[in-house]
Amino acid sequence: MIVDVHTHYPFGKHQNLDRIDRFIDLAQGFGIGWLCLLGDVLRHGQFPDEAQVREINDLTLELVRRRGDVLSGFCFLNPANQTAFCLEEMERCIAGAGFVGVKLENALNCRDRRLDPIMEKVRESNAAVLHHSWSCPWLKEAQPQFSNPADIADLAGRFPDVPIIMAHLTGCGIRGVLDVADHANVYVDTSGGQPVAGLVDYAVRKLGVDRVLFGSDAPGRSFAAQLGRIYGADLDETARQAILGGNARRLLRI
Amino acid sequence: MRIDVNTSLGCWPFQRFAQTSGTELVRHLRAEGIDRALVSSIDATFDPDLHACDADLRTQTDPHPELVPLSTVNPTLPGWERNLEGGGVPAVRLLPGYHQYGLDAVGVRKLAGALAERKGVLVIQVRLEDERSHYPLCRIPPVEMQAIRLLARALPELRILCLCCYGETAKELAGTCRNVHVDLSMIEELDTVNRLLDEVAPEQVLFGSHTPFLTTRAAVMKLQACSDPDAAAAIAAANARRLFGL
Repeated sequence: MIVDVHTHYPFGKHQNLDRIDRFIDLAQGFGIGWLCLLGDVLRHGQFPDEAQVREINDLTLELVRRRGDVLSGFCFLNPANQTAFCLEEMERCIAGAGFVGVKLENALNCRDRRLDPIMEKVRESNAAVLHHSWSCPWLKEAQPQFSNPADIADLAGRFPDVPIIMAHLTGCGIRGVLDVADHANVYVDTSGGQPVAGLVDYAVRKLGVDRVLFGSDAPGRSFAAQLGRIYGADLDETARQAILGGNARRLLRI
Repeated sequence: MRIDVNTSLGCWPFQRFAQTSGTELVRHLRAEGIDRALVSSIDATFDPDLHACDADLRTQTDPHPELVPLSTVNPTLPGWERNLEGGGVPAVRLLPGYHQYGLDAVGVRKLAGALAERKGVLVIQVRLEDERSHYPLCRIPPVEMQAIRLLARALPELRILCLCCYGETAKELAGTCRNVHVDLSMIEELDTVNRLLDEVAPEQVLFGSHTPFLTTRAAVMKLQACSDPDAAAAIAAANARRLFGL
């Protein structure tokens, strides 16, 4: 079964919750049998307050309630909000509703120690963190708190027993893979950006096949193009199946 | 039958390519079900002697009838007229971003006029990479949509092919200028081709993969997901055949 660890619904112009079935149908048309919903993370900009975070998670909760046969949720958080709120939200989504991890975007750089209690609770919950990342120095101008792969490596070093999925292989690039290579608890998802040739193969060589997970970033991206980068990579079939689903099923217990 | 209008050969300082020769490119494209390809020079991005780059390119493409070389010109340098000579449909590629000129430059207007007279094709490389992934000391802006639109409207008989534009730009440009065509390589959204065809006529869309920069299979799978078989066939080959006389 193919598992897509990086999707958002609702997102952008795709706001109609009743269209989730169409979204799932499209995925299944490509053989994708399970989708992780990370939430409408930019719905309220980069720095959502507690009510806005709760609203975003409510939407994911509703969709997982409707289609728990193919969907897993990630609990979206802004770690700059009150720690007590973040922990309560994790309790509500992970312990209460079976979400498989926490999604962090760019509200607070992951070197900030306000992430630590969240990471400790992720560990306690046997969950994972999926963190947005990109290797692009000038993104800091518009997103001052965004985390690059070196920041992810810092977080991984502080919590070596917590699995961290670094999002967006294309955005992180070769530099990003090298930044996190020594941290065995960092995985990379293949989502985001153009399907740059050779990057998936490179990540497998540097990180090992077990640390690479398929993600599409749909609906902002297409299942076709993002699967194409896996099917078009120079991999043997065992490695391809691990990336497409085996690794995610093991890591997220799907 | 599948014709790829967006492939290239050469060296690129920011990425290692799996296909670096005509032989390797043909073998790779065949494996992806691609029968013919327009190929341009990657070296022409930074090397000012574009005739030398094209000569190098032809040493790779000439042994392979599947590969059709597409010359890169800089119309702000003398000598581009030579590229319009010879048989077949004249077609040249511009790299305005990397060669640092606007589409309103005098040389561009002369070249475009000459191509329009000869029923040729002006190929505009809008970008080569996602700007967010540029090397920090080599940030090259994409060609502006409005500049392409002005050129297309000034010369409605000129056929323009834009390579590597994003989806919204493709819809805006091709949706409002019937003489503008786009390739699929960097157009991406959920259900890409079907949504593109909501706003753009299928005759204006061509199959392009941007090999070896991007994974060829991504473009192949985008096209395979098109639900209209007639439109898919036009995009796959018929439009390229008509536009370039292949």
